[in-house]
Amino acid sequence: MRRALLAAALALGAGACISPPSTGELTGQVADWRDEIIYQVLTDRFANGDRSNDYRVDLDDPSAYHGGDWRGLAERFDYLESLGVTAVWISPVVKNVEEDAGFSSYHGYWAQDFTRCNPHFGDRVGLRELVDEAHARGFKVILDIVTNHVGQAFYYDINKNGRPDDFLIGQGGTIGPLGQEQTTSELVRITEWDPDFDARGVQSWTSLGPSGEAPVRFLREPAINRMPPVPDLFAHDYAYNRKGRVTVWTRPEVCGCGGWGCPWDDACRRQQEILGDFPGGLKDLATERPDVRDALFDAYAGWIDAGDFDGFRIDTLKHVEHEFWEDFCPRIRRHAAERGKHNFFMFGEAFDGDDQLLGAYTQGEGVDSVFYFSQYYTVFRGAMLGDGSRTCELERLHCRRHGCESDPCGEGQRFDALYSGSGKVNGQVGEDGLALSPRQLPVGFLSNHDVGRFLYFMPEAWSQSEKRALLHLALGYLLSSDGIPCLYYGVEQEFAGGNDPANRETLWDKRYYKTPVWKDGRIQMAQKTYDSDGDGADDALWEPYDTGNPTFQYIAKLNALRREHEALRRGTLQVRWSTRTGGGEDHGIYAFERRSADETILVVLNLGAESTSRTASAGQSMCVGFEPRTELTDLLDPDARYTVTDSGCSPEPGQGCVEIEVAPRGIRILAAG
Amino acid sequence: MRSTSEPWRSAATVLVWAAIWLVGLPGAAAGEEEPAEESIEVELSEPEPEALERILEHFQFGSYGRVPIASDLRGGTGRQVRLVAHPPRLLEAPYAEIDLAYTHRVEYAGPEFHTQLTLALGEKLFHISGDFAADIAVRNLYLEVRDVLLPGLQIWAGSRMYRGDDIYLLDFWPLDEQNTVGGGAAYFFGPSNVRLHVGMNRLDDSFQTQWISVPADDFGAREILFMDRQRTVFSLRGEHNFSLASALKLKAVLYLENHSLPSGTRQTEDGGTESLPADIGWLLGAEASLYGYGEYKHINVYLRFATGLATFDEMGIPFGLDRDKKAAGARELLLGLSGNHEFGQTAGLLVGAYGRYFIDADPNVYDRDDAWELALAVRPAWYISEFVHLLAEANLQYLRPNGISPESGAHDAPLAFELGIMPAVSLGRGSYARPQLRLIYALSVLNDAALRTFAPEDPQRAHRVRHFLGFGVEWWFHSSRY
Repeated sequence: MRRALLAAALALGAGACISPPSTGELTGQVADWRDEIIYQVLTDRFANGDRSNDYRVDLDDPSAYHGGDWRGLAERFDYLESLGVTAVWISPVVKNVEEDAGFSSYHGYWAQDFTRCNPHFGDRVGLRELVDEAHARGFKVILDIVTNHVGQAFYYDINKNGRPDDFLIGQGGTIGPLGQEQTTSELVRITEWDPDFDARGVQSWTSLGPSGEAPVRFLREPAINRMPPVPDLFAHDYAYNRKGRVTVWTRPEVCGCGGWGCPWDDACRRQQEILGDFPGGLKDLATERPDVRDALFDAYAGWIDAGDFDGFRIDTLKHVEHEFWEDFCPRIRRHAAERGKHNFFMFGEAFDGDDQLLGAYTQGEGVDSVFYFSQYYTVFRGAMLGDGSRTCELERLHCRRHGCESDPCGEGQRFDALYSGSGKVNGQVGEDGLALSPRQLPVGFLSNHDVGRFLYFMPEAWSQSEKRALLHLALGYLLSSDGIPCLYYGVEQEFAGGNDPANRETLWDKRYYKTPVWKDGRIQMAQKTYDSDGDGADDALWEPYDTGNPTFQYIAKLNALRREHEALRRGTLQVRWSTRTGGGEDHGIYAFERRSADETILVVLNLGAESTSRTASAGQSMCVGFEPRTELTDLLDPDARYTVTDSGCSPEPGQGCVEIEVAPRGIRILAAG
Repeated sequence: MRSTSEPWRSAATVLVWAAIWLVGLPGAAAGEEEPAEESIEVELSEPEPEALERILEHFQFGSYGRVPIASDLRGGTGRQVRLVAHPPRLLEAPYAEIDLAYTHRVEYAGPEFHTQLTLALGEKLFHISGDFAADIAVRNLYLEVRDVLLPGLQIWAGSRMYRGDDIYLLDFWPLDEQNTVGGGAAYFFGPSNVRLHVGMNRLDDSFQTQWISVPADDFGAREILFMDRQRTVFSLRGEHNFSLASALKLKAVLYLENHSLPSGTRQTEDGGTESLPADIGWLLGAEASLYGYGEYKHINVYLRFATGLATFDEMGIPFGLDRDKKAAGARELLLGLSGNHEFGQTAGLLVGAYGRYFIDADPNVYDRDDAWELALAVRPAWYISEFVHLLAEANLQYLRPNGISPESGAHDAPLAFELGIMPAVSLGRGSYARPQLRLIYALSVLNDAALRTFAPEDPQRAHRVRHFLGFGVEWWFHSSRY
């Protein structure tokens, strides 16, 4: 008894001496970012490990906080390890305006205080514990940051009455009896929270007409943390551009365009995107000001120091002028390097499928890479959901990144490389010490928090197995291509939510693991099941964080292949087969080789949905970088083996010919042996 | 009426001492409205041990209260007409105080420790409003130690009403009235005494106090005290009682008061800050009082001159500030009178009056805050019997702002006359005899300017002639000392 009391006393004594984890030491963690497989989590939706920070949580409201936090994420590293991902991208960590217009800031993109943690996710100690634990388990951690805007911090007092209004002026339409109508004043809606873009600056308006630039009034609503932003500089109107909301996306005519498709470099559109408030009243920081740049650098350099992060995912890249990135990125790299953190990786989100725009951000000393939206639109939203008749478009995608002398589609274009092929000062290097260029580091993705999930875009009429086959094809392509693949949480559980917020499911909510069934004369929701042993019969209940379901297992398998084969991670990519038309024996075929110093991997996809296709056409088979008589084995299906021959194509020395058969929406990843 | 004569005490002595022996040693008490007692020169011989025990330690209960209720004979409530700062009190709102005191004297001639708690109840009466709630204020919460260090020296600390003499008919202490938390000392020596007081307050208004809401560390908001400006009030009062004849005495009082307020910063509505400068004010006053020449008889005359912050009493929020947001230029001159005369056992005459000129600190000399005001009340009484009296009252209020009326475009001079008659039942003869139950009828007449002091929408504006018919009661016993 006495011993027990002593132990208790010692435990209490030890408890009184608890110290937070070290926040001083930073470590370089990444040998080569091409080795990494990123897993994007919305922190609020991934795992809830601490109920004490569940403030205003409402699982029934997709726009409310759901309770996920850093502790929950750390507790699920086993799950991520099973999946085989190597880096975790977490939501922004800074303190947000709690809510706006009935929506909450669970996503983290409504910064209010750039120096403090979002308490819904944890505190500084919890954040550092998360990163330390991640590093101990071999994971890297990427922080999502925003430099373009803050949350809904102020309103434009357009009518100068000192309070935020949303009002109508004018009468609109006509009055008077039929045949004697009189035109009345135009009906105009003015919202002081989020007024439309005005290049002069948002204008005040009185009954006498425009009356100069509208004053900005910061809000003070402590209960929802709608307070003047921090650092203090951001609590002044001059820290913002104050031009109003970007409207050109929905009204291209404001920039003289007749419809969708204005060229990205149209000055008017770019002016709006760079100077305008992000829709939703997110106020645009005047990032062209040196003091604003300094403040943003200080804030985010501070988070590197506090959190030992390994990289930044940068939000709204194209809404900030290039010059900012030429200033911000080198300073961040230098700061990280000075603290011993090399290969600090920054990739930006320019929500645009235009390679010229995306590539522009990779030039100079800006970001290391971009979120590969052109691939998303071309491959996943285009070719894979289409009929697979022109896989040359996938090759063109590759050409726009690397450059091609001829047009894969045979339409006469020459492709200049739009992505930088040069490394950066203090930038990315491979394990061999050679610089890595943005061209080698695009971050590909199948879906993310801003777009609907891949399954969502498939026709409803498709069966579950059809959908799954295409999902697996897409995953196979993503995880065998060059660059850095990024998986959005929930893809492994076959989540199928549509656009925001439906694509932000709660991973632990059992409702997402149910499916409608007809039972007892009515439709009921029943828990999903799957075939765990491959005998064709569903025999396992599909639970949250399930690691046995077919897609989780498939991703784990692909990830394992990528880890095992350097060529899949770091190898060059050479397209071996693509199609310009459909209907032939090679319908839907797209093939490429990944080649490293010691290994070549051949990847063959069939994007067609109807028939088995082969890498042959008009008597010609596919030329590959394997010697004749090389045995090729499908790493996903070891029973599928092919022998490289010396006929059927025109091989150069060291090459051979091979005809690979691929089932509809199938993929083969072949290696010698 | 603070200054009262010795003889009235003889009429009440029996009752007082009866109460004393019921609850203990007499507290030299005076209620909020009670005529203040002068030093009671009671010859006490060394008591027997059993009596001494009662003297040394006792608990005391006291009270002041008034409850009027009246009809305006139009189906509404009879209400007081208010044109000036201190109008006649013929029909005041209900008010009560409950005094709880504990006194412990160390030994017969040793220091005495007196703990006082006075709870005041505001005008909310459940039986009128149906609202089962009351406004309660702590008006005294202090400890006074008497005869400490040397005989006649008193020291105290706590929260206290600290008052001199009043004009009863106007419910007004024209010279010295403090409501602060602080401390003080008084020294009584022969016919003289000196009183010193230093107190503080921090009124819950935007001039002295500002709580603002700020984000909590984690979620939601918390309140912080952003502006905290304590007003410090210092007062010094010297009194000497001259014996002019065998029974006639003259009390002469000199009074000095200082108010100071530190600078502060408050948050503006748009989230900015506004600086408020330090401010100060002085008040100099004098009082002369004749008393001692008959029961209840006295005449008091008051004169005071105040500058700056001191023109606003300690419970007031300064207004009409100068460009520096200070009250430095404000001035006040006041002349007051109170008196009572008893005509044998038959009648009495109570009088109260004051005239006041006030100008605020802003540069506008023609504003309506700058004004002369006058209040006068005369209350004759006929003692029909020991307990049945017939009282009457005539009073007037007059206000003469420097500014013109925005409504009439002229220099308005609001004026109200009031005549009242009050059959009453009192505990003995005398203007200050209490408890008292009254039947009240009053007639008020207002001039046009007085009517314009009501908002145009106020139905009261329609009534130039007003009637009040109702009842009133008032009492005080053993209520708190000042």
